[in-house]
Amino acid sequence: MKQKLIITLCLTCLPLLAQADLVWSVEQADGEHAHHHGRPQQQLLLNESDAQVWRYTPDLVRQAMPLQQRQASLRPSGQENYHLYLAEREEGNLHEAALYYRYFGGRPTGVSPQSLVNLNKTALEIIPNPLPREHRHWLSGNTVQFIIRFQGQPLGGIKVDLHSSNGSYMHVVSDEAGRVSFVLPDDFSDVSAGRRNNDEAWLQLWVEHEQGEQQYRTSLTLPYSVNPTLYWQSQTIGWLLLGSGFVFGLGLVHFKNKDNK
Amino acid sequence: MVLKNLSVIRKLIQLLAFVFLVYGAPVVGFYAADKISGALPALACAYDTQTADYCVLIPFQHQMDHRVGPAIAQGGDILKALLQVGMTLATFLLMFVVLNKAFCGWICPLGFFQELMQMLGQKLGLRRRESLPQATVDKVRPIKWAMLALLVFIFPLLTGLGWAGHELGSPYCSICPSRILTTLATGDGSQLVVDSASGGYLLLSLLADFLFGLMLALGLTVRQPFCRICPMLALHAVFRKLGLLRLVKNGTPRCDKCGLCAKACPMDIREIHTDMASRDVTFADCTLCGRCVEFCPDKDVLQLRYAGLPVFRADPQYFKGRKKVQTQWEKANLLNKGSAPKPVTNHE
Repeated sequence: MKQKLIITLCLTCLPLLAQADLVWSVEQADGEHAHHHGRPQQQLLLNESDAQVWRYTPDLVRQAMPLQQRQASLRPSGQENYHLYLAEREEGNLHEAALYYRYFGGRPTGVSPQSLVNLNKTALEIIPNPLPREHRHWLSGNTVQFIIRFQGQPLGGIKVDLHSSNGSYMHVVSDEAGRVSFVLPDDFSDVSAGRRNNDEAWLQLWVEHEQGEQQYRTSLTLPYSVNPTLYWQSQTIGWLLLGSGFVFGLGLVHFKNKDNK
Repeated sequence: MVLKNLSVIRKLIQLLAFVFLVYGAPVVGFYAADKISGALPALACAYDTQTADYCVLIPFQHQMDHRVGPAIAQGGDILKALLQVGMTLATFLLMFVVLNKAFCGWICPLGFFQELMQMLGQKLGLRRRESLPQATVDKVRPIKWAMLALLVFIFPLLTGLGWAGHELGSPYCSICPSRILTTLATGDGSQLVVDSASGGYLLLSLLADFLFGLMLALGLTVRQPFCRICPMLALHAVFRKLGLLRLVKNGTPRCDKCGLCAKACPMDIREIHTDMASRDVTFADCTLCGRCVEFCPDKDVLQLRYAGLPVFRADPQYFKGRKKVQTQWEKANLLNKGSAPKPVTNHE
């Protein structure tokens, strides 16, 4: 039976946010629709339908993307690695942007994801510093860093609001170099052992900036996962095992030497 | 003067290679796309976020698990999947041809680390085993082939086919000591864990941690303990005839009575001494470290040749100097002189 489990993220209706602010959210499907490899099927949704959407491929090509019922296609572009989904909208003096970096697998593209990150894509940007490398993920309890950039320059002293799909909220302020660092919330409940047995959560970062009459608002949506070392992986026992192997090895050498004498 | 000693030159190159491969991301870049090849013929680990390049065994396992297996199981484009494996192999070979098996003896971070462990063991006065018994060597030799076949290709393929659990998607990486070494070297303890996500992950993580501890202890007294079972050594062995660097022997009747080359060999390849028929003696276990050439007392009997041209040749004068340096080093450095191996001596 094809049963689709939809986890609708409540981020788009968080009361703390202005309703009109642009933001990406991701719906996850599970059950028979889940892939044997990689993450389950997902849908990328924008909270508004009157925005222009682009996808940046790893080779920095900007492609216009249609929005169908607020949904942007997550179908592969033919390249793997990081893609960026950007939604933009102008309304009077307000310029809004929503960013979402999507990882499509590790096949080499020949272009560094750093080039995609460095590219000026919209006026006010929240830039992951860095994007997780292959074999790595954003994990709860880990410190992460982002750079706030306005028209290509770092923007210091700006407040960044953070909201997680698990209900955490906090805010941080960027330093002179536009950097913000914070610990990803460990706000998962009912954690099961194994990364594949736990759904990703989503964090949204929001910034706002005024330049004269013009106002800019930007959001960044990113996934984060349960940190295994906080739940089902033990570093202490790992060190103990290493010690056991070491002692066993010393014993082995000692007895072999005795035999040879 | 010191730089006339091949072992010293090799150690310096190993040190530079270690620093570059373990901490080189600020030089080459952070992401996979920035890396030199993504298919390095040495154990530089992708789990080390500061590495400058990746070991070829990682893409092989991923391609078996994520490309070839699913293509077979789901009736996909098998040729396309195999083409990717072929591209990885071709990239590996482009690099491998340049140095041949010297990637093990001169470049591999884990190989260098084991040599450091051996030096530490000598410093601590632990009794070093000069050579392993032939029976032990013979028993250990096939393990590397099993490691390559099962852990790098077969188990990941079975996972890709859906016949085995995700635990076996990259089983060699799960137990590789280089993964633990290089991440710890960058201050990251996240790979030295016991993982209770499933029985399979638990078993592999227990094995990995224990194996690393065992390698540390054995490395104090046994030369290159992990290298002997390393799947990279087996992969190198398959293509060693393509490499430009070779170990070449011009055997003489004096070789029968000598055997210093075999004693000097950290991989206990006695065939360097006993094989009088072969000219190319780059055996499957050879890491082209050149110690056998250094400790060969007869002129030009053993040579390291690059594209047919000699780059380092056995020489009686060099041998005498090398032996003297070795003795001096042992006198100056060993805490317990009685623990030192019997010095390599010339035959009459």
